[in-house]
Amino acid sequence: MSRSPIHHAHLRRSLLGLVTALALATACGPGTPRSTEGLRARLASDETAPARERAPELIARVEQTLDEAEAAEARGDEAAASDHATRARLLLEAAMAEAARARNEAERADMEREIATLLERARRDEAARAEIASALTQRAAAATAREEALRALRQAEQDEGRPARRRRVSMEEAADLRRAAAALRARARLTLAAARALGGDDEALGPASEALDAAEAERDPAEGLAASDRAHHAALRALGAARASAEGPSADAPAALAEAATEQGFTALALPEGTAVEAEGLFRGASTTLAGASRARVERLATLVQAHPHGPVQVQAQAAQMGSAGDRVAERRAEAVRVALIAAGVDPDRITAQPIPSALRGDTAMERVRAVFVAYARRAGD
Amino acid sequence: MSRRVDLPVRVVVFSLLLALLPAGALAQDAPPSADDLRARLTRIEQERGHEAAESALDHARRALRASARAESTGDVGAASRARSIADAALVLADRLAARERAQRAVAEARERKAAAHRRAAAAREALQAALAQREEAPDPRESRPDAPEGDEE
Repeated sequence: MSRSPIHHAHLRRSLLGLVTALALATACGPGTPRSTEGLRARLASDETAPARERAPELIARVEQTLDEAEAAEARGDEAAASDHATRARLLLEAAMAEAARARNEAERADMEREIATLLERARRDEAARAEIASALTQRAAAATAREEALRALRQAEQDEGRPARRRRVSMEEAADLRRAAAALRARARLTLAAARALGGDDEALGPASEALDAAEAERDPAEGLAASDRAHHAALRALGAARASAEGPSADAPAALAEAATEQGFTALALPEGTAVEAEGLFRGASTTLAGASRARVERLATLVQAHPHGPVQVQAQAAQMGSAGDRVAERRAEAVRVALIAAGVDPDRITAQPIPSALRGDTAMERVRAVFVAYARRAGD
Repeated sequence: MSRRVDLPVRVVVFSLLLALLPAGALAQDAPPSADDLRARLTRIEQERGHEAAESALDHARRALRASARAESTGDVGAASRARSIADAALVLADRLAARERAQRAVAEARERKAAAHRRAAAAREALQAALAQREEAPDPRESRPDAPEGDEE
């Protein structure tokens, strides 16, 4: 049975239409579903380049999740596609946050290296300056000794020679001690005057005045210096007692604290949570016991705490070791300093001890002990 | 005899493997359990810097509630997807909190760097002053006593 040409032509047209439709469908394919289009574009953009570089695992999860979203959309499961797209968006945000964190870490590590370089340079300069100062002092002493020797020689020509040079050197030392003691007493008097001006009562000022009188009466130069130092500390404590009558630290108290800390040989730092006073070399090696030579420094720190009587003081410590061993050392050191401060007369209720949080510590091994005066935070605009 | 017994077993095992393979290949990783997710949520809430991740934490809380609702209606697929979303939200919260901590550490390092700059500048200034003082001060080793009269050549 044969078919007509018209029938054949009709069949060919139908087949052609079907093939065209199939070709178009194949060419277009399932395509990228609308729910993931934006995310795909964002994933390929420059904005996410740091995330691709620094968080490749998260980016791989984003891509896998987008594949799942597209497969769900191709199946017609709109709810699943939407959920997968949401998950992909969250993971992409996480990848970008991770990239930002890694960038911050790198920035902080760079800064830590710069800080180490700066501190090293400062220490070198300080050591060089101390050496020059020592050389100048020796030079001055040598000049004086030479003049004295010449004078003694002349004197010896007239009179029988005496051991003038030796006696003169010991007198010079005594003169140095007396000058230092006088400077300390002058500072103690100024501090006492400030405490009186703040309304300090006799009970608070009395011990400092007595200590000052005793220092002035002392004849032995070395004892006089020690007594003057005690008087200065007593005056600072009296000033602290006078300040305590105020409700809180004054506006310029953080600056005064920083100045007093620097004067006492500490380093002052303005942190967002307060003014930090850093003390160096309190511990030797990995020890958690205060070095014997650090007693005087701890006592100076205690006086500083007493002279600035407002708010809590956090003793924070950091050890050179990293990890939990370092945390333990840091915790014990902070506690050792807290106990020593209390033994030196600081109010126990004001002092807490804690290791410097590892998040703030970073990867740089560094020995640090500091007292953070929480109420002495610099205010905005200061 | 043993071959006759082994062969059907092998066929069955092979068929099972074939049947399971596509499903396994296509299936996504199972999301963590709701208990695990809640434990992670609690941990991040207690971490330093969690304030910066509050929005992501809230997203995770909502996803966990949606998962519980879906489970109660027996919609296992929706519950699983909701847990996956909670998991992703917690990954984001964790990274946001870590970024916040890193930012604070940078701020603190910046403070310390400024202090180190000040100390280095002060030390350099003091050194220069000491150097200048040394230049001005006479060195007794260089100055000699005046030569007695008649000793000059």
